[in-house]
Amino acid sequence: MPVPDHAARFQEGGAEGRLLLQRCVSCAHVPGLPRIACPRCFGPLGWFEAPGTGRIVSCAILRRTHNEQFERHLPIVLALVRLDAGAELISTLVGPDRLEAAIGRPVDVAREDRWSTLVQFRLAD
Amino acid sequence: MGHDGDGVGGNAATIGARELGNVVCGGAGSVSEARIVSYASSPYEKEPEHELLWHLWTAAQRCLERAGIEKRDVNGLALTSFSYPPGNVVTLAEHFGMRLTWGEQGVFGGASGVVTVGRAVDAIRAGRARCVLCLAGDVFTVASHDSMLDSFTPAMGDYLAPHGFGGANGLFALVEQRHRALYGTTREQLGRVAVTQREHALLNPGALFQTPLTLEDYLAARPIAEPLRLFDCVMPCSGAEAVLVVHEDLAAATRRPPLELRAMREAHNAHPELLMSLPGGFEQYANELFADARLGRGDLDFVQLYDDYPIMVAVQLECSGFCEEGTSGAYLEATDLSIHGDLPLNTGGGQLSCGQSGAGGGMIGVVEAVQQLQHEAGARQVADARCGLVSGFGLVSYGKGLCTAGAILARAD
Repeated sequence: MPVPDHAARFQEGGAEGRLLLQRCVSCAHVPGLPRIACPRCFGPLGWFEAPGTGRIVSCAILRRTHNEQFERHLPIVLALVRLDAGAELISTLVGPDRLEAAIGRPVDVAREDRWSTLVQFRLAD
Repeated sequence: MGHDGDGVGGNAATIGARELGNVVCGGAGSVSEARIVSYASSPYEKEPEHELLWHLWTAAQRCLERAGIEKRDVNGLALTSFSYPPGNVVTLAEHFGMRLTWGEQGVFGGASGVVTVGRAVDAIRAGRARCVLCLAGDVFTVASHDSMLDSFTPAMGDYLAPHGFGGANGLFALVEQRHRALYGTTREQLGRVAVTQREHALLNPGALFQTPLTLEDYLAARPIAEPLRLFDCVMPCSGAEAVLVVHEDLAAATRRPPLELRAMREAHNAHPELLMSLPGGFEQYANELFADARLGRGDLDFVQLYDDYPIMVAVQLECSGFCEEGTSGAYLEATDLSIHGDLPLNTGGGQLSCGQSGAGGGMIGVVEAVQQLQHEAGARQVADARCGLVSGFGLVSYGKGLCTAGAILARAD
């Protein structure tokens, strides 16, 4: 029997284009990246499917990547996203309009044009 | 007891414990003071011409030679290196044939240089060592450095590498873009860091970048991770840095200008819920650092600020209290950062113009500070330098540098 991985559901959600996040059973904090325990109160965490919406806190346009497997996705738009679910994530934006990314713009989880194994976002209307 | 007398050997010409007898590391109740007496670097290489151990040995050997200390007198060793694992400080001691009573592995990324020197001072004060060599260095190229970053911390490997995230460049581009949006900071303002430091590098034969850099060059450079362009980014290279910290009695015997660590503070994971180094963590201890040192910001003769990117120099100037939050752009514009100016910044050229020798980048500021305070900086000497600030910053992980440290060094004579 494999040892349970605290991050597995986040990774599985990413593969399916779904935003699966943890929420603290005790204090309801949503930590963003998977954790073994709540980084606020040290209590146990449960999983939920979060709405994929949020806003860009900051973004950058990568003109190069050192990893050849990602070169065909250049320019890559890296974004720090504040999720409406209450957490922040660093991710990438996809879609032909991604270079129009700007701080404050709304985003949503991308279902098309995805290329990462993790959840990616697109500019929302 | 730090010293058992056994590892010192019998060379009467050696400055060491022999002439100091049993006073070193004292008995219960005695307080030993530590002095920083020497520094050195290995020659930096853009493309590796030597292996890591050669760089570490060269820096160590030059550092000891400058102080007239024999290798066998070293009984404390601190090491920071990203490319040496699975080797560590103890395996390096074995390789060098050093008998240690104290060892420290720097695990704080670019903050390790400052932290390990602080730990070395603590060890000497506590009587656990009397002669500590602090080393930091790596053998890197741009490519090997980039691939290391994909697994630099667990979170980077798991959650950033699958995004082709652009290494540290991408993450600090997020910081700069946010700072620009919040405070109106301009590329011209940040460019003053890169341009001034290049002027300093032209006076430093050890710097890898030896061609002048204008603001126009900076602004027009090739985009890497916009808003960052080429001269915002340090160039990974090979090299090592060394600093020697010894018991005050031994310091007197070296006849080197003695320096003291007036204060050292560190903060790790200062902002658990932030994903950007904005603020960077330096603000957690800045006031205590200056209070401990009994010095004001205006008393400093120079600052050696960790400069992986100009934006982080700007953030540090704010967080360390040289200017208000959000005003670093205007501060950079109004302040002469040159060697003869108001606040001489990274007087050897910093990592931006010397190259970033991996973990050596966290020690280069300490080495430059020691050299300046010992008045051996040649053409780039800050006149009559008596005290200065050195900062460290590093262990970049999911979005932010997790470690910060600051130290104030001063002449002790």
